[in-house]
Formats: sequence, structure tokens, C-alpha cells
Amino acid sequence: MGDRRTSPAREDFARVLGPVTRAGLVRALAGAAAVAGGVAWLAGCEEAPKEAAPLPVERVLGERGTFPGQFAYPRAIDFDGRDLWVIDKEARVQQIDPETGFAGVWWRMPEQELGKPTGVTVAPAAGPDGSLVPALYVADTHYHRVLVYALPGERPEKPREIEPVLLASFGSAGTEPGQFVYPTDVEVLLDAGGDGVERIYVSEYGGNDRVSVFDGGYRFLFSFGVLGEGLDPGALEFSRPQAMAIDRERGELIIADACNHRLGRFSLDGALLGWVGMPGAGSGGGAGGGAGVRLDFPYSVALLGDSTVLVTEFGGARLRRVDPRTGVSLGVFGIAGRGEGELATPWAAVVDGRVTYVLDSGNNRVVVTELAGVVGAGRGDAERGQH
Amino acid sequence: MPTLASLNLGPIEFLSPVWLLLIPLLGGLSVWMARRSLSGLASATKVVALVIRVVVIAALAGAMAEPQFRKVSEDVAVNAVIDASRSVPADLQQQVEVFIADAAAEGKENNDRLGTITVAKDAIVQSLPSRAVTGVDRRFVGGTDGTDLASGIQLALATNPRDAAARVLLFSDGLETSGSLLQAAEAAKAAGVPIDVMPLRYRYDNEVIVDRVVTAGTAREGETINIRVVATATKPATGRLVILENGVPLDLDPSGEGQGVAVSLNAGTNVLQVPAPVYGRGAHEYKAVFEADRSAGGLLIDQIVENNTGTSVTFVSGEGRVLVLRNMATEIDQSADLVAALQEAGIRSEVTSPDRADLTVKGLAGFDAVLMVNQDAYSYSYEAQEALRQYVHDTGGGLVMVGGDTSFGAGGWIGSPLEDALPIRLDPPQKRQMPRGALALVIHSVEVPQGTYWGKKICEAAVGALSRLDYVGIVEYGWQAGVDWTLPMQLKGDGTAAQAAISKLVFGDMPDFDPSLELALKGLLATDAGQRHVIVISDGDPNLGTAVLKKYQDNNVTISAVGVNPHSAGDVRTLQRMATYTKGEYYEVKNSELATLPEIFMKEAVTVRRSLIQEGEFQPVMVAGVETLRGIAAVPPLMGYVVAAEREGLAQVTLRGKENDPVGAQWQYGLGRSVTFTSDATTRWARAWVGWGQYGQFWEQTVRWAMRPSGSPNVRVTTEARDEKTLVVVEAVDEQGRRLPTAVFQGRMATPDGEGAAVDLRQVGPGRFEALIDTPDSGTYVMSMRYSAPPTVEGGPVTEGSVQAAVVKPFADEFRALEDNASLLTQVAEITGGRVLEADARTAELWSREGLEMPVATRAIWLPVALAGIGLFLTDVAVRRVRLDVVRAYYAMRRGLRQSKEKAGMQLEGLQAARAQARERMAGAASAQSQDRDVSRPTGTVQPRPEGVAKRKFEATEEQLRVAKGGKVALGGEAETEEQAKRRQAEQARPAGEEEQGMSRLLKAKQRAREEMKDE
Repeated sequence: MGDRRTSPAREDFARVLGPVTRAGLVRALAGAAAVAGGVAWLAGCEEAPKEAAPLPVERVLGERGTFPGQFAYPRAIDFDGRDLWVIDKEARVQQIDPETGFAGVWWRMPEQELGKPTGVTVAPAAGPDGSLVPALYVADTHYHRVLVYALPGERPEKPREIEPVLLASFGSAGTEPGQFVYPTDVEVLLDAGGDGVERIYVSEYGGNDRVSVFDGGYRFLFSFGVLGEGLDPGALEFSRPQAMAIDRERGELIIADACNHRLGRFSLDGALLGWVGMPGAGSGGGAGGGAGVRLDFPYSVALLGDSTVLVTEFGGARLRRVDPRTGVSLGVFGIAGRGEGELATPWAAVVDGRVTYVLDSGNNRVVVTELAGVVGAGRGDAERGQH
Repeated sequence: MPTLASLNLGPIEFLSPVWLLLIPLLGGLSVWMARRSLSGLASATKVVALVIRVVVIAALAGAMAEPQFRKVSEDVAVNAVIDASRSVPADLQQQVEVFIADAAAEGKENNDRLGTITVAKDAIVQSLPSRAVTGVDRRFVGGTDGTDLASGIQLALATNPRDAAARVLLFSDGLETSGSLLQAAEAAKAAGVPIDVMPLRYRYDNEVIVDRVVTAGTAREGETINIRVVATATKPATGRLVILENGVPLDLDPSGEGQGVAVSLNAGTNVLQVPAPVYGRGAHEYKAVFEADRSAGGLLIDQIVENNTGTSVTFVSGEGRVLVLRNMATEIDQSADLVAALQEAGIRSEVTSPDRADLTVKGLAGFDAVLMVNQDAYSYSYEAQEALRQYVHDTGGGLVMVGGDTSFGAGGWIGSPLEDALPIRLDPPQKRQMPRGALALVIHSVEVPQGTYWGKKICEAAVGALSRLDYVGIVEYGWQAGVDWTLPMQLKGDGTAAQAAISKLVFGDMPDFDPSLELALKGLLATDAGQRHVIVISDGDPNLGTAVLKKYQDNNVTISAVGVNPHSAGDVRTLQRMATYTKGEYYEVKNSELATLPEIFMKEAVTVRRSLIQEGEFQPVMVAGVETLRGIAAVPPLMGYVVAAEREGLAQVTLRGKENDPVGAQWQYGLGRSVTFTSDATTRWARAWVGWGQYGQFWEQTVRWAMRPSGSPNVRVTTEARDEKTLVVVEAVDEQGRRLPTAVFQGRMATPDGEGAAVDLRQVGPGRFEALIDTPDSGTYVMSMRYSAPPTVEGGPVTEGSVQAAVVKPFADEFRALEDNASLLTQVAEITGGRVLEADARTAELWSREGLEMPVATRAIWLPVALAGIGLFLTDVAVRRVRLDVVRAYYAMRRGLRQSKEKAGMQLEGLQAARAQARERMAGAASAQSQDRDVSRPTGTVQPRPEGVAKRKFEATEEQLRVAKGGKVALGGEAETEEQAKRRQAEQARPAGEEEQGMSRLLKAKQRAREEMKDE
């Protein structure tokens, strides 16, 4: 203890504080320990929590219901840099203020009897004059097509139903090239200069589980993958490819192969680069075929800034940050439940900077959260809002 | 100690404010005491110490007063209760919706909330109060032929948010058919919720109501009866009256065109009479319909059509008749031998199939017995099964159930309502060793309106059809646990575990069939069942692999798939593939066919129930002294039967099979009788019987035993509606036409809700009996009365028989009213302090805060207040014990920071240097220890204090104060001695750099204190 008298500054403090007692020393030590603990705790926050826990909730958007700003089992979400776009089982496409949860414009899908869309993507598309305009690609699952709407402009003060501008519709029912059974998601790749759409990737399931690739004029180029249980890791098989993400930097397409409980990494030309993931505890069968992380029905995949991905596990009721190359799980977020920060059959999540918007479908809400280590690929690039 | 009411001070509320009195009391006391005790402190410190002391007292007293932080809400929640019953004209309902949508758009603050509830027969929440709700979104509103406004108000009170001031707005015509709105208003008043009302005003000036149709309750065949139609018209009206007899229009005016007859009604009550001859025995339903003419301007002179019909039923007595129900689809008529035997015995029968028969209580009441030949339960709707049960129990009909390979337990009757009417239990005997069946249900979505309801219903039907010895399990995809057993595969037993599991089903969105099918197969294979089967219900969109189906095929386990609204042909193919691959069945059900779902499940479940069939020749053992076997000495052998168990109680077994199984049994059930014969009546199992000489006699005696005693044409029943009740009048005469002086009646009534009720007939005169019965609901009430009367002449026969009658209430009271009842609504507003809004009211008024009690959220804060008090108490001590020099503290901190910056690059060398320096200093300090002294250190704390010198550690004595004027005094210690003063001065003269700090100084002080003590 004699070592303590080392600093003149300490002496000054001692003079100011007056007499130093043994109790004072003990308190000082305890204080130091508390500070050290606090620092350690803060440092710990940077690391992923070991045990799954409810999400830290910044705010909650939406509630169960059929009015604008309410959701009836929402299944598709994307972010355009300013607004969220959510599609629910009432077949409503709603523009949602990410701050207040109020709805802006909304419309109902033209047909909805047979089923509702399960995928939406904000990305540029060729406008009427051929130039690129911001657009909303809707995977109109049960009508075997993709509808491309021009992204509406300003968000009105009060909810307003509108007639959206349909830029294009492609695909029809069938298993031939260019046809779809049940399209699930759309991803758009811009050309090198960013002034034209190079490719459009569409995933589908329903026995014809594959990814079809189109050019910017919606002409079919090629497809890859067949329905399969993924028993052979070298085989290009899917069982409900539910979502995709493009890693432009690395020239890779990452696909959530939901019913095989794995992520596939592909070249932009559809060559298989590898699988990661295997069935989780609650997902029962399925081969998985990938290494590392256990995934329980991965339903969406969002690319992060460090080329890792945030996977939404529909079955596991949680989000997971995964390195798609190694299969290492870098963090688990959320648990199943109805309470705050808990998730019930989440379908998707989109990341904008440090903010993650989780589509908590079973609880009819969007949970706004910030998750450790989850930072989006950044705004403002040509493919903003991609998931 | 809540002796005073609570006290509000701004946002703080004190629940026990009496404790606050301690503040002035103790505060004053401490000020008074401080004059002496704090006088040794500098004036500023003194004031600070005193203030802190008073604040400490205030905080502790405040904590004891139970303070709460109050947050007053600023939001309003309006729950709109909308009368959606049929009595409210459609245009008014439209107006309500427009008003609410306007109200949501105008005058509403951002966080104000709107909720909507519709109320008709039931109250249903359409939207919970929410800021997002901007109008009325009517979904399912339930039955609209009744109004229960009270339940609407109750639901509104229950769903009002607690964090906003609540208001209920009732839109109604004020006409209620059930519940009490006034009582609900009292409840709202008690809850402090005002009910604003908006009366929906209307008046039907042109209206015709068919009040009732009156016919004789009973009639003889061939007799002409009088059909009296009582109609009320608000104004003179003309139109046509059409009478339908069992659905077929009577040609009332053979000379005129079309059906019916032209009539003109006067304002007020009109009685129209139509004579009609009756042919054919049984129930004759007469339905009168008034069709109003259009006025000259083309306007209908009658506005509500629902109240234009009336119905009455007449039972025509005659010779006994039996309804034979058989399966028409099979090539072989399994009832042929039986019907021939009945015909020979003179029993008239009508043979039909269950889908063609009128299986309602009213339709069945025309028959004296029903004979069911090898019938399966899934050909009968739940309502039909219930009607058959009521027919026996409440109308005294007879039931004879004859077996076959799709009957009894093997026909899905286990757990059906009709099982209650049978003299046997359809579950096999508990200890019986027999092959078991195992059924797994794999539940996906049921994407139909009220999908959860239907989903549970079908699971109940499937599980219900199994016997207690069968295995059952339910697999579904849960949002929490993924694929798992909701009901692990187990013996059904009494079915309570299954029932509990069914109630918990969530119908999760299953992405993939394979894991569920794998799990189901695993469960089935773990059982020792002979027959294993899976039923899948889905929309067909989960993924399906082939490997799992192969496993099913290999293990001989079948899957039947039920597709409910499949999304596409692909989904249908998925389900079909599942069924065909495993040799099961595929069913597709659309929204319009939902009622068939439970039947499909029952039928599928029964595929595991084939084990109940026992085939092989055996000799039935006759039980002696049974009426149905009178005159029969022995019965031929049988080749098979369906296993069932004996029913304890009054049921009598007449024929026994292997292991004493009941093959023939009979009992009295309510007013009626029922008989079971678990073998069949064909050459399959009863080959020897068909050619047996007493075959006809056996069946005649059996059927006659069960048949209702034939009705006497001498007993006549009439009914008369009296508001919610009906007067039943029975007039009984004997064969000679003399009124029966006395008679004993045993009467029961089958009511529309499926319940039975006793009918107590009271004799009001010779041969005249009356009963006033409750008939509140619309529907058919079928009465059956068995009677017996002593002979009217000595030695004459006892008069016995039965008689039926029916009362029909065709439409609900909902349609009787011709104008609104706004006064009731006004009363409700008055009771609850609400307002009466008219249709042109400003919508902004809805959101007015006037008259609303804004809710307050409170949070107890005694703990933080108490902690603050304790913290301040410590500060109080510190203020007097520690002198803080802020300026020096600042400089010290600055210096410290600067040095730490300078040292930042020093790393290891720096640390080592500092350590060496510290060692040197310590060595130097040790040599100087004997002279060491620190002026700020309270010497008194280590010295024993002389008695009476100081009362408290921190208080100065008068002596100390006196000395203080000349020299420094260490608080709480003795006055400085001369020697001490010298030493202190020497210390002060020493350079500051030699001052010692920390533990070494403390040790030195301690040593010094010891020395001083030795000196003393």
C-alpha cells in the first residue's frame, strides 16, 4: 500500500479531501472496482451476448389491425432510406414513417384472393423514359409474378390510399424459363456505372425451387437450382429459397435456403461457392448441408457493412449475425415471445446504418432496434435499402 | 397511518400526509438546537448544515407520507358501439359509418384513440381503441336477428384503455332483444365512463307484420283444417297471401293466376282464414307469406320483409310409421330383408338415405320410430345427430340401430351426441385385449374465416371418433418451439388430455411438411397399434420432400390430406402426392363446404377403428325374460359384429356375443326407447338369420317395442302464442267422445337450442289440460305428450297414447318494432352523464375533454425520497467533518490531468522510475516519522475523551470556543496544549514537499496517538 504515494496529483487530491481514513480508502477501492467493472461491461457490450435475450427495443411501429399504420400478419419489409415499406396479409403495401409508425400512402395489391405477396425490395428500375427511377419490386407470390411499382414521392401527413404507378410486371404461372411457381424475393444488380439495371434475381419455391435471372428489360437470362433436400453439399439444391442479398463488393449472391436451414453463397452467375448452416433445434429434419451455425428456417438475409449478414430465423424467432464464408455465428438477438423485444415468427429484417427494423410478423409489429455489431452496408449507394 | 385524506402537491400526491406534520415540528426543533450545537462552525457552513438537516427531516417525513408521482393523461379514447342488428335500416347504418370516419378526421388530437364495436346478437370488437383507427372496418358481426346492447357496452368498458380518458358512444335504435342496457349503463356510471348516445331514429309508416299463423296442433288424416293468419298493418294494404305446406305452395285460388290468393288488409289487426285438407301422416308445416303490392308510385307498402312470414305445424295422426335410413350408394340394399319383414308385420315404413331425410326434430316427429341400418356417423351432421337424440329423449320416438361394417364404433359414432341415446357404450370394454389404432393429426393452417374455430372443431371430431383404447397425437408448427407434439402420441383414454391440447392449438405457419411428417411417423411407429394413420390439414404450400413419403410407404402408414382453400394447382398436387404415395385419401374443401370438414376428419379417423369389427361365427346367448324376444326360444348363429361395451344403469342386454359383448341391447331413454343390434341384418353376418323362420317376428317385436305408442285421434292439441310464452291446450275424449275426467300426462319439449324441457300439463276442466311454456327464441319447439287415463266405464280399456304438437316462432322480435326507442338511449345518457348527439352533431364534440375524468398514472416514490434523505444525512455529516476547497480541487485535478498526459508515453521505464522514487520517499518518510504531524487530522478521534468535555463528537465545548479565539482548535478534541502548538508551528514551517500522504501518514498518526496516550 505504500506504493500509493507516487503522484503529486494524488497528493493534491488528498489535501483537498482532507483527512484520509481507512474507510475512505476502502470506499476508494470499491469505487475503482466499480469503475473497472463498468468499463469491462461497456467493453463487453461490443461483443455479442452469449445467451439469447429480448431485443433492446428503441421503439415499436404498428399494431394488429386493418387500418393504415396497423398490420395483419406483415410478411415483407424494405427500407428506401426514408420510409419503410411493409406488405401484410391484407395485401396492403404501406409506406411507414420509421420514427412515428404512421402510415403515409398505401394501396392494395391488384389481386389477392389466392394469396398475398411475401417479398418486397426497394431498388432502381427503368422508368417510362428509360432512365432509372426508384422502384418497389413486389414478389407477388401467389400470382406467380413480380410487379414493379414506381416508388411514390413524399409521405403525406395523413394516410392516403393511392393508385400506384406500375412500371412493369413480369413472370407467369409455370415452371418454364421466365415463369414462376411462388416467387419469394427479388434482388437487383446495377451495372458498373450505376446507371442501368444489369440483372434482376428472383427466387421461388413451390416445387420449382430455384433462382431465375433477368436482365434490366425483364428478359429471362438463366436460372439455377432445383428442389432438393441438400443432402449433397455439392449439389445446387434449394428448398424454399426465401430471400437473397447481393454483396456487390465481393461479387456474391447470398441466398437463405429456408427449409434446408442454410445460407448459400453464389457467384453472380449462379456458381455455388459454398453453404453454411444446419438445422436448428426446433426445425426438425432437413439436411442443412452447411457447416457451422444452426439456423432454424432462415427467412431473410440482410447484408451488413463488413460483408457479414443478418439472418432472420422464422423458426428460431431470432436474428443472427453470420459470416457467410465461415458459418461462424457472430451474435444472436431476440427470443420467442409476445412481450417487449420478443419475436413471433419474424419474416424479415432490414438494416439502415446502426438501426435494424425487425418485421415481427406474429406480433404484427416492426421492432426498431440497435444490435451490437450490426451495421448496414450504408445508405446512399445505388442499391440503398437492399436486404 | 392514513388518518387524513391524500394530499396533492403539484405532480406529487401524499397518501398519508399526516406524517408531513413532522417537518415543521422536527425542523423547528433542529433550528432551535442548532443555535447551540452548530455555533462552532463558520456561518456559511452553519447555514448549509442547518438547511441540509432540515431537508433530511423533510425527506424522511415525506417518505413516510407515502409520496406518489402522478402523471395525468391528456388523451381521449372513444369506443363507438354500433348497433348492427337488422332492425336498424341500412341507410342509417351507412350514416353511422360516415359520421365515425368524419369524427376520426376532425377534432381528434394525434394521440386520441378510436375503437369500434358492433353489436347485434353478440358484441364483437372490430377495432381496439387505437390512434390508427380512422373509421369502421366491419368484419364478422355475427347473427343480426337480435340485439344485445348491454354486452356491447360491457365490451366497450372492458376494452377502454387505462391510460386515456374513456368515452363510449352508442349508435342504436334503442331496441334490445336481450340483456339490459340500463344495467350496463349503471356499470358504466360506476366505472366513471360517460355514454354518449346517438339515437338512430326511424318509423315505419307502411308495414305489414304477419303476427302468427294458427292451425290445430293435431288433426286426422283427410280432415280439412283451418289455417288462420293473423296480420297487422299500419295502413290499409293489398297483396297476396301464399301458404306453403311442407315447402310446397297450396293452390288457394284455382281460378286465379299463380300461387296464393289476393287479399286486402285494413289498418290494424286482420285475421285471414284459409281452409286446407290434410293428407299424409306426420308433421305438416304451414308457412304463410304475405307479399305486399307496390303502391301507385311504385313504392313498396311494406318495408321489412323479414316479418312477413309465419309458420305453424299440425301433426296428422294415423297408423304407425317407421323411417328406415340406409346407405343408398351401396349396390346391395342392406335394409331389404328388414323392410320386407316389417311390411309383413303391417308396419308402414319409409326408406330413404340420411342426405334426403328431414333430420330435424320436427321432421322426425312424424315417425314413431327410426331404423338405422349400418349407418356411419359422418353421413350425419352434428345437428342431425343431435336431432335424433332429441327425437328419442324429448319427443318419445323410437330408435333401432342395426349394425354392419360401418356402424357403431367402426362407423365413427363414438363421442357423438347420439351415443348418449344408445343402450350400449361404443368404446370397447376397458380390459378387452384387441388391436389398437393410432392416429396422428398434422395441423397446418386452416385458411378460412374463423379458421381457428374450424380447426379445433375438426380435431375434436377426429379425436372424438376414436375409442379410448386408440392412440392419438397432434403435431403442429408452433411459433415458439417449431415442429412439436401439441399432444404427444398417447392412449386417448377419456379424451381430456386431447381436449386440452386441442384448445391450445395455434395453427402455425408451417414452412415445411417434412419435419412434421417425420415426427408423426416416429410417434406412430413407437406405438403397438395395428393400424396407423395420419391426417394432414393444410393449404398445401409448405415444402414436401419424397424421402419422408418413402418412409411412410415402407412402414405401411397411410396419410390422408385435407386441403382447405389450396392457393394453386401446385398446392393441390403436393397434397395429392402425399395421399396417393401413402395410399391415403385427398379431400379438397372450399369455403362453402366448411361444414363437411368435421365429417371428413371423423371418417378418416375411423380408418384406424376397423379393429372394432369381430368376424367369425358365434352363437349369441339369449337373455331370458326379455319382451323383444318373447316367443323366441333360440336364435341362429351370427358371423360378425361390432365390439361395444355394456352400459351400466337401466340398459338391458338381450343378446350376448363373444366375451359377453352386448350384441342386442335396449333401454328407455327419456320419453323414448332405443334398441341396438351390433351385428347386421344381411347375409354377410346374419346369413342364418335371413332364412330363419322367426326373423320377421324378431324384428317386428324389436321395432314395435321401440315405437312410440300411436297417437289417439281423440286427443287434440292447440297452441296459442302469448308474447314470449305459448299456451298449450290439450282436449282429450275417449272412444265414445266423452271428455276424459282424469288423465296423467308426461310431456317433454325439444327446444331450438337443442335442450329439452319438461311440459307440465295442468287439468283445468273435464278433458281439458293446459300448460304455459317458455318459447323465447325463434325456431321450432316440438312437444310430445304421453298420456294414460283410467277407463271411463268400469271394465273398459285404459286409454293410452301419445300426442305431438309444435310451436314455431318464425322471426325474432327484432323485426316486430315499427319505430325506434330513443327514450331508452336518452335515459342511458342521463344515467352516465353522457350527451345525446343528433345525426347532425359536430363530429369534433366526440373528442371534447369536457366532463371527462382524465386518468392518472401514479408511481410510488417513497424509496427514492427516503434514499435521498439518507444520502443528505451523510452529506450533513460530511459538511461538518470535511472541508472542501473547491478551488484547490480544481487545480489539483488540472495538474493531475496534465501529469497523466505527460506520463502517457513513459510506459514501463516511467513506472519503474516512479516506483524507485516512491521507495526513496518512503525511506525518507520513515526517518522523519517521529516529528510528523498533520494539522487537519482530528487528534481527538484517537484520544480518550475526558468525561463532560464534549457531548458529541462534532460539537465544541464552551472552553474550546473560548480558546478558539486565540488559537486553532481541533474539533471534538481537547484544547491544544502548548507543546502541541509548538509542534504544529514547526510542521507549518516545513516545506510542503515533505508533507506525507496516504497510509504512511495514517500509520504515523496512529503511532503518535499511542505516544500521547502513554504520556498521559
